[in-house]
Amino acid sequence: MERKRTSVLIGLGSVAAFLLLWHLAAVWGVLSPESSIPSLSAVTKAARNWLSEGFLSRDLAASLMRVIPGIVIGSACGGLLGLATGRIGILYQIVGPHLHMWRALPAVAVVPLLLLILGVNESTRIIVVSLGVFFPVWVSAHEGSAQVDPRFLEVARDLDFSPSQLYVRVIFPATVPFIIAGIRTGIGLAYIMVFIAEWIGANKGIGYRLSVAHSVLRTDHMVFGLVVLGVLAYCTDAVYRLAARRLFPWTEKKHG
Amino acid sequence: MADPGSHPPAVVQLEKLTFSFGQEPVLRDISLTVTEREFVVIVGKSGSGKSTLLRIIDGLLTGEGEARVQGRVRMVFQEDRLFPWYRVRQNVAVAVTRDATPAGEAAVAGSASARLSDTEKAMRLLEELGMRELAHRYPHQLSGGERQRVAIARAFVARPQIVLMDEPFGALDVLTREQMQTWLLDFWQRNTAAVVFVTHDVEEALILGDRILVIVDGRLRPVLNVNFPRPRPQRLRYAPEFLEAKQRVREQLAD
Repeated sequence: MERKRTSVLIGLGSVAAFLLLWHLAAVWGVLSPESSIPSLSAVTKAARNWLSEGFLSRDLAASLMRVIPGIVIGSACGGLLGLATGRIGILYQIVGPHLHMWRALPAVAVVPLLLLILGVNESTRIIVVSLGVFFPVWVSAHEGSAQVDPRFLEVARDLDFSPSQLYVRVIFPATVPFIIAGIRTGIGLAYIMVFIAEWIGANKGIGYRLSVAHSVLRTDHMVFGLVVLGVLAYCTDAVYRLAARRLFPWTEKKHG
Repeated sequence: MADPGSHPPAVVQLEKLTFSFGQEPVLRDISLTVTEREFVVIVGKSGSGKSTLLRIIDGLLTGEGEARVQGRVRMVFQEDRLFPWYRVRQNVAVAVTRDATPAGEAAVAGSASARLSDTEKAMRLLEELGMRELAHRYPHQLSGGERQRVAIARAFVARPQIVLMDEPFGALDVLTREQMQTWLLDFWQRNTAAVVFVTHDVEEALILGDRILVIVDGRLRPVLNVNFPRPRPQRLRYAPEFLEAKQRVREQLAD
């Protein structure tokens, strides 16, 4: 506990020191007013502007309404498919090559095509996000379910589990820690994907706000937009980790 | 149906059973009959084929020759093998089967016990075994002895006719092991299952068993019937007749 508090304090101190140095750089003239690197005060001014114009709440809400359903859909599809391909050899032989080829592409490269095919609308943006989440979750669920401890499979046979009981009671829970790790990777990708989707075709969202700032060369607004995106991604990850620990307490065996 | 005057009915019957891993014979020409409610102990060194024999009886492996089993079989493995994702009560509850309650029993009690959910059945057993306070824990929150007790509860909860035990106390320290032996005997006597217990510990075999067999180089042979009355106290371990029996089993294992 004491140790945890110390590490939090060091983390906060490090952030504060960075902000101070940033500010001093402008005060001491390292960052001239003409420089394209904005000063801390310029960025805080941008922040106030976002707040007073209502951008922050509107764009934040818009981005979250894409990221959260995207994570849920991508995780569910990736998880279920991985649980199937990991245990059913023939299914993996059929769909594996396709999935691995798409996975090898940078997901963002597919976005312009998707926008053209599916149209520039809200469901396309959600699909784009879920696509980013889908692949890492599929890969981990596949790996996890393919390598379920054979000793547990033996217990399942000893206890006369039916095939559906085997999946529900053994294979799925044994794969959960892998899926949890896959979704964590997926969350990071979800923010990349939502940014791309909003940059290319949207009229609200943090990515959209950044593209507007970019088109008028407002680096102060762009930096603030990135800060918002970073804090948002960080918070999502923290909430997710907390929720995973609550829902699946046995995945953390520290006090054994 | 067995004639009332004859031997009690057999629950396990192996005849000329042989098993090989590739070219390597593991079990040779094994014959064994286990009767109802009997406690049979098989003693052997590691790699003597003990675990393989249990797996064949459990139906996890198939050998050549005859292996007949009457009724439900359950296995307690060397390591507890509890599902880490389930609390203790769920670990026991998943082993409950639909036909666990004999029809007669259900009819008598106004089918009260038939209506119990799997979890309720598990809780009843855990309570009976004095493990109520462990029911909400996860396996990683238990000691080695507690884990193995839960694994044994899991094996017995569906009222099997045969319980196979593969060195269940092998990983425990000596004192815990002795406590577990007493605990197991007490529990077994209140049940109706026959037990086939495999161990490399001769003392354990004599404390637990009605009958001892040894397995050497994949061959099974009977050594002795253990006639010490039950319950068997700890001090029995130092009785001359106990030490003598121990010596006899040892000799059979030596060659």
